[in-house]
Amino acid sequence: MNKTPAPARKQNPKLPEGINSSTEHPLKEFMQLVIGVGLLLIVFMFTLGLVAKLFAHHIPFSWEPKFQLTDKEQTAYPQAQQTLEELLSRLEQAQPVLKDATIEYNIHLVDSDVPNAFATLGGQIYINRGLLDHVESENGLAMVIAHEMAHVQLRHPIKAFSQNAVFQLVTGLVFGDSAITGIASHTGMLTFLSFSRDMEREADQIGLQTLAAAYGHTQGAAEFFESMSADKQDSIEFFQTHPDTEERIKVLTATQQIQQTEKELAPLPESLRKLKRELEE
Amino acid sequence: MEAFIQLGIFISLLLIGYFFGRRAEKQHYKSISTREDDMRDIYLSTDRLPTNEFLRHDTQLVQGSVVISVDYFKVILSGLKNLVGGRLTAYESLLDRARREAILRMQSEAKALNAHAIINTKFETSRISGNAGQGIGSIEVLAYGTAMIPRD
Repeated sequence: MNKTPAPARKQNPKLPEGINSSTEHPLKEFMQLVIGVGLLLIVFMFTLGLVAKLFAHHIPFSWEPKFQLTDKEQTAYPQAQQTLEELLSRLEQAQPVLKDATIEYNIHLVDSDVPNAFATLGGQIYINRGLLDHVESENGLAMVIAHEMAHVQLRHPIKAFSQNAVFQLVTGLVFGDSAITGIASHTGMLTFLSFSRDMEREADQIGLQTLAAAYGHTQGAAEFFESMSADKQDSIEFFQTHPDTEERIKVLTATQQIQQTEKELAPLPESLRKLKRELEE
Repeated sequence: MEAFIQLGIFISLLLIGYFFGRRAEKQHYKSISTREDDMRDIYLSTDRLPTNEFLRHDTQLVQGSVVISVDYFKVILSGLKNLVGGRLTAYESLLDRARREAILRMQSEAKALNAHAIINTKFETSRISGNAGQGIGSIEVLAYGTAMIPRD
């Protein structure tokens, strides 16, 4: 019996590549997307940030949270705290009157060696204990407090906070709950921690006016900044959040020289001097 | 400081995803291409019923299944692409590889049975850990069909 040869078996064809998948380099697409989306985000963020900045001061002061980092009642230095509050209310009366009369201030002496002072939402002003090492007279301290009060009065905390909120909102909406949002919120915190240079300059201006009204002159205004720039090693943190200190000293001392004659500086109140001495020992 | 650490972690994950993912993909495509050449004899068709030449063959179910994970780079790339829309090329190559690999495995099974062809070829695709929120997802592709084994 003759066996017919088996017919040639059917074969699968060899298909060209790149039909069902792209042969383009993935990095090219990645770069295009990063640049495109990045630019869009920047424009979007910038516009919204501007809107937030323009309208933030229309938010009533009473809406600001009265959140406090430290409890005033439980301070380790009740006398010094008391003195600071007295100084604050004296400066409050001397402050140039701006539109908003509903603003209330709250001053806190913070038990921290880092020489710094800052103002946040709800009119909370924090003076670190370490700052006392860098002022010699009451005038120097009053300038720092007046400067922080000016921040509150000019609504800088709510402006910075609104911009930060917008920033977080946009990144949250765009990226959802992903790793990118984590990074974005941290960079957002960095921007929140510092006021802009313009804000610092404005606050210096108002602070000086307050100081002049309270003491009749502005001598000693630059005391804190001069002392800080004298030992920069100690105060890296301060210079990170407060750029161009040199320039500010110049402005502050320039206003002093206009007044020409040497005026007597008020000494630091006894309770603060005592605290300073205690800490030095 | 914390922001920089997070950024560092993010970029390293991205780089790891890119380099290892790309290397794996290249090697996989190379291997797919050579094995496809070896398997050209196992004829594939989607016909539901055998054609005349296979009428006197034995039949047997054969299947090939593969699970492939997406890498971090592909996740981020597709995440960005999600904002503007368009072809998700990063996932296209992933699925392309998975389908072809599944077919190859099915063909190997058929070859072990001395089959000449597979008819009624079908695919199933499913996500594994797809509901794990932000977790990196992976896909399973199953190819199955009827192997045509000649009677001696």
